[in-house]
Amino acid sequence: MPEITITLRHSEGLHARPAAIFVKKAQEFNSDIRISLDGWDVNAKSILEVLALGANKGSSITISCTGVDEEEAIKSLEDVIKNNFGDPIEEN
Amino acid sequence: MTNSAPMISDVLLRETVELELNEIEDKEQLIRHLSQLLFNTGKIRSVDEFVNAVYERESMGPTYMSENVAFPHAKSDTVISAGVAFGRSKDGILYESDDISGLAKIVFLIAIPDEMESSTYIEILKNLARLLMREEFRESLLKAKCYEDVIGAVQHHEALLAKRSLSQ
Repeated sequence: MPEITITLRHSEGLHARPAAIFVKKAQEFNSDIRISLDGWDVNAKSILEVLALGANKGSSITISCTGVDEEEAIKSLEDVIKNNFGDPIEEN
Repeated sequence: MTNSAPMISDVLLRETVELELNEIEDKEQLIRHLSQLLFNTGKIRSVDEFVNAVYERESMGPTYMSENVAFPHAKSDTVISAGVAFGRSKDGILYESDDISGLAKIVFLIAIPDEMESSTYIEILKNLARLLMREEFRESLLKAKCYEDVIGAVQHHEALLAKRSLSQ
């Protein structure tokens, strides 16, 4: 089960457009995909559950994938966050 | 980090809860109607400006959440102080948001003043999403007969969630 911990740099955290992009990407995969933060562990394919995580800019979230396409899924989701959801990275 | 986000039960007023949205036919009427409740209670300066801000937010990602739940929201300078309106439709109102759609039966409209920190804003949405994830909470809202039932369910589940965070 691949797992990564990654820090969000987007000013909107995992909310609004970043959340929508992330959830849509997760839905492309068959694997079960979970995100955890502060003792909460949620389904990455559910926008409600992702909002319930309350991940802000600076939050370090842990993503784990389980399933036939787990390696591909975790790589894609890592890329989405590393690319700052397609937005330029703001300093501070 | 200071926790300055208001609880949903702090801002959900009797005058901003409506349990029979029978006359409402579509999403646009729904958002306008709930915005009017926020206007009537002095939470927003202009219904038109607030509705525009809600639609601007809608264009960034879905606010329909499956399970017949929607929570449209916006942060705008037309908001005087943080407010939440709750509307319920027994039959559901067709709610299209981004590329997701469904029948919204439980709708929370959230108004956030422009000066609020975005981390506080995200925390309010987080608190609401954590409530709405609970099936028992959603059922209580669907069965509620009056404002007391709604605010009672919110307070009950907020207390359960607070207990959960303390135990971690």
